[in-house]
Amino acid sequence: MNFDEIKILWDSQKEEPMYAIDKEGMHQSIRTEGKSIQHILNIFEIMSMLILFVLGIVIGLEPVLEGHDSHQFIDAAIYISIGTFLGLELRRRKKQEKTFSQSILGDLDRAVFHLDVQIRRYALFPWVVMGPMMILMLIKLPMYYDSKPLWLWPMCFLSIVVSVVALKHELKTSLLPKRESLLKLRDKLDQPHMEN
Amino acid sequence: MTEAKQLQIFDDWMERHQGLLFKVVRAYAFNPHDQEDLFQEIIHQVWNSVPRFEGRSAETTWLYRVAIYSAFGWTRKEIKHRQNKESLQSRSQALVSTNHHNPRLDWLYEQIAQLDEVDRSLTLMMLDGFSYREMSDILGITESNVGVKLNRIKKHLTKQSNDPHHEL
Repeated sequence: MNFDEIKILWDSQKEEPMYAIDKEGMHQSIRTEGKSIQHILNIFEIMSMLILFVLGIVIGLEPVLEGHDSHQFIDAAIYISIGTFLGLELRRRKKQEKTFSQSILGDLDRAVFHLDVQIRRYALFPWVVMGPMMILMLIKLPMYYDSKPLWLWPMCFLSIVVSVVALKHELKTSLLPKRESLLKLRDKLDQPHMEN
Repeated sequence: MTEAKQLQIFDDWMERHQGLLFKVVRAYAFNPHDQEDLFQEIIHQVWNSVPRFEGRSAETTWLYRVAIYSAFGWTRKEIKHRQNKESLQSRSQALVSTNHHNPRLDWLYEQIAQLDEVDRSLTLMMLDGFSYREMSDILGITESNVGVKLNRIKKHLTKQSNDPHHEL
């Protein structure tokens, strides 16, 4: 068979399609899983940012209005700092997203970029969020919460350590391999002589 | 864009270009379960892409890009999909198989299935009559790169079709 005959064979599908669409089932499916993960993530990020700001303001206002527990200013500052960090990251990502080409290679670059954002966040999280929280606990627990049971302290530290280990594990087992597989596919697409 | 408008455009695309999506499904998924799974993945991506479509490219170019990119992603997750077969059974079925089976076409799809995912996408577009320029736009690679890959694919397909072990 030469290539033209292969083409004629290919075009014969138009007359006899192998599938049909169940329109009702298709609409049902879209309604169930319609929103893109990216859209949901954006909303999640904006909501997290707003919650952190509101928490920061509420916690910071209490000592101002009532004139005591001034240590809460530190908590407020930390919440607002994390919220600001999330906001700046979101803005940076949105700005960068516009620069990718409208092609599959551009889509792959965007996917790698999103993974890089996540990887960066996972790498920074222990320093930007967990670190300050740990320092805050070290300062505050003995000073302001000395009436709390002693076992609470190691439990709090342990939960922070477990969170950091879980993040590192996710980074190693999921995000980095995903990134590598995307880059391999990108190379396959971009290099003319790459073997299968 | 209102959801009603999005649905109207989506239904129109599905009505006029469903054949294109079926080809992608058949080239990347090889049993009815996987084909349904991939088709669902593609229609969700097509649905989400409707508001982003600005008409700067032809609808078929856009849909090929969305469908192929979805198929790339689905292929990478294929093992995971196989482990979650039960979850699909609870979902609505969107794809209905007709009784039209052509053994010669089955053979051609088998040959396409033997290529890697990038070459498969080029083969589909080449057989659907896309120009080098269009393929280059969809994939984001140079026209000369498209040419090199297509020459190799054409040689492979014609060689396979003339192989006495594979000949129809």
